[in-house]
Amino acid sequence: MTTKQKVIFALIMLIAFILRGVSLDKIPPHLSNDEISIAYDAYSIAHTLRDEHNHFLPLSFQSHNTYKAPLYIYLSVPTTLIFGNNEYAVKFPSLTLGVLTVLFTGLLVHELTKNANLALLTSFILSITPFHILPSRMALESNIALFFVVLGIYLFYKSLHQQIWLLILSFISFALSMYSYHTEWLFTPLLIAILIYLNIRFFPKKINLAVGIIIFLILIAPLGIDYLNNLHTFARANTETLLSDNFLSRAFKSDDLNIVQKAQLLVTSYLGNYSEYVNLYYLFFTYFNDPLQSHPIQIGGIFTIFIPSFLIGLVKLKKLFKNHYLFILLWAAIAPLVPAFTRGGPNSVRNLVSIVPYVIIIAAGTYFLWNYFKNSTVRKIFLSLLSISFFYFAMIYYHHFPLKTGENFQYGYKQIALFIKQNYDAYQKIVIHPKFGEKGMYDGVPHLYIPYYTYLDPQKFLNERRDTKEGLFVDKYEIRGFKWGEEKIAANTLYVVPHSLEPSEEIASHLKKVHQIKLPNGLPAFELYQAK
Amino acid sequence: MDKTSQYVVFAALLSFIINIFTHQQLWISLTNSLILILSWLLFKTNFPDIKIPAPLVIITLGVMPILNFQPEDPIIPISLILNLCLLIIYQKTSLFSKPLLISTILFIIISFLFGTRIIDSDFTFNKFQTIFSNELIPLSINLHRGELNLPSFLESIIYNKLTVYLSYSVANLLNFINLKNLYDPLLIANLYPLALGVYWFFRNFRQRKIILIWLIMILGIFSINKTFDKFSSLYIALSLILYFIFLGFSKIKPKIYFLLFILSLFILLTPKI
Repeated sequence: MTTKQKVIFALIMLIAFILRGVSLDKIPPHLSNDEISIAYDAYSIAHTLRDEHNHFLPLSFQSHNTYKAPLYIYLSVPTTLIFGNNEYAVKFPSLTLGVLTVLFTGLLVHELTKNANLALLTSFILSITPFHILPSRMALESNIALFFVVLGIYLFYKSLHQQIWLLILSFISFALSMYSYHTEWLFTPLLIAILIYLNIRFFPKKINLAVGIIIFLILIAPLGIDYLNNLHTFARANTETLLSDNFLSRAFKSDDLNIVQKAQLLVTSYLGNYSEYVNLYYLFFTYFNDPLQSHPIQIGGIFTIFIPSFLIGLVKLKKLFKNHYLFILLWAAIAPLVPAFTRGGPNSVRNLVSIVPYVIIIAAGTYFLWNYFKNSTVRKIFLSLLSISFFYFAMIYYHHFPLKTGENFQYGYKQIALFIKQNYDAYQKIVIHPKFGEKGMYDGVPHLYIPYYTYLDPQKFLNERRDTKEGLFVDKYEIRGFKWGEEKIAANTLYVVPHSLEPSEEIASHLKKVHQIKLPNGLPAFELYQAK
Repeated sequence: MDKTSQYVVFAALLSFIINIFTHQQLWISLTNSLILILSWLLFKTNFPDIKIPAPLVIITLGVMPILNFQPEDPIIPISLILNLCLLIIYQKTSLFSKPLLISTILFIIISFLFGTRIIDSDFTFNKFQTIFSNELIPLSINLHRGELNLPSFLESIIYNKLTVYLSYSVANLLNFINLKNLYDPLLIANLYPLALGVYWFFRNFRQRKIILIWLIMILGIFSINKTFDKFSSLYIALSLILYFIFLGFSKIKPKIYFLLFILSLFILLTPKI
């Protein structure tokens, strides 16, 4: 690379960092229930070497019975010790590795094409793509898994014709991807098989490949052993697969269908799901429609202006990537294979690993079109439209989204915790209703938010925690449902309820409202009361 | 008749028989088979020297669900047939090229309008079949204008009807052209030669601009059509789809195609419950 290209690369990395790092504690507006589980487990591991459920240095974190892959939580331990209990601590790994994904994607393209401009373009497009920005701003295991996949692929190609140690590092990175997220348990081995199949002829010594594979298998063996020892780990997987779909599960239980017919139904459902994952409408138009449900212009995971680039990229990929174009296409094709086996429609978190090949294809198309249309007017129009698209996305995401989606992120629990922290000694008991949202419809996880933000001693949490059918009891906290009419209002007790479960006037006459938590859009979320 | 053309006739015969069994109507059996044969003739007119390495694969087209579909209006298959005849004549002769071209485009448009029910069989215009009848679009423009505090010149670009309808039409098109909407009528196996055919065509389209114009018109009609029945909609593009499939057949690996065909049959015979 020339000095000018290196400067541009540095600028792209800066853009990537700013877009992923700015106001990290406010956008999204609150840690989600998965993020707080990661955060609390990291906090607990940092001080006790045990997770929330008292398991010693687990390889699979029970969490909300979702049994998360371990790496993200362990990466959050040092950041929690450094930054304390806050959003930056838990999101730092995702932010950092998200930015590094932009770097290594560019390096990968450069390695495959020796075209520095194409590499820069690819990195730039990934740096501004919503499909990658959003996950990099959340504590998402799939985002760090993506980094390790990209790094592994880069090191793999770098190791062709070169030293074995690069290949070993590649397989270590692939192994780490499997410690990062469950999708990679199937995706990564498949990807490795494809890489080996397409490139085996470039390895002067096949023994190097064998060594790499053996190291990879040794590294992932603990995962396999842990899985076999804890088959209930896949409790969540069982509820998330197509097989748990009502229609399919009824069909499978039916005696009217033979095994071939049941297999046909499963394959048909699976292909239908896969079709939704590769639907360009979803990628370019509806990925981000949560805060935009009735807006006339929707935002996709990838900007709409890149549709022609994507289509042209599919045609021009071979010219730019030569021997390696097939790998990019296969990567894009196999990425949704595993998430397509889950139900609930296309899930961008589970399918995050597909964003890199899509961006590479788009970059190839954009690169071709940019060089084809030497007319500066066409280029100016493209840049203008891209700028408008990005600005629209930025206004929606950085301004509109945090205001509109507070409830989706259980907003309010952090604020409750901060209030409690300031007034902890004023109460003998703190009763927290576990519901939140409109009509108290949703189940929150205050038992994680409150201890996390109040820095409750994790050892105390482990020693004193009692889970009963009434609720969860630890320290002076009682996290349980209750009805105002049946609750005996006690003195020196703080009651925290969702706004929708406010007490009646008669009961309220015995209470004093000490605080109210509002959502970012100004609507009330939680009310805090104490006895008069 | 060369061997490949013989296989096309076999495929047409197979489609004919399946149509007779399915619809018990001679006219649709004849028209669907004729569309297949004429599409092959059009392809041979464009690519007289192209060889299909495994011509046996062509027979599998006979079981393609879209070739065994009966559109609501008989005008549609008739328009397709006339369109194909005119295109073949246009490509074979330089005489009357302009009138032929105009007639071809006219019949393409007719088949589109009837196929998408923008014009009903009683020749009434049905505006509710187009995206322009969607009242929610202008409503949402007015509702959300100003919400984001965008600079006024940006607001005028983003929140104007042209931008919104353009975005909506492209979204509509992409939503229609998804994998499931393609493999249900065409079979998964045929997506393989279709993709290869489209890829190869776009690398070499300059000599066949009329086909490109035809493709653009089809995509245009899909983008403004509001309600999609995948079979009815793809039927109007049937001859073009067959053209690309034939082109793709010259590039496929037959073993992969046959494996996909077995998978296609496996899915095609899924019980309907």
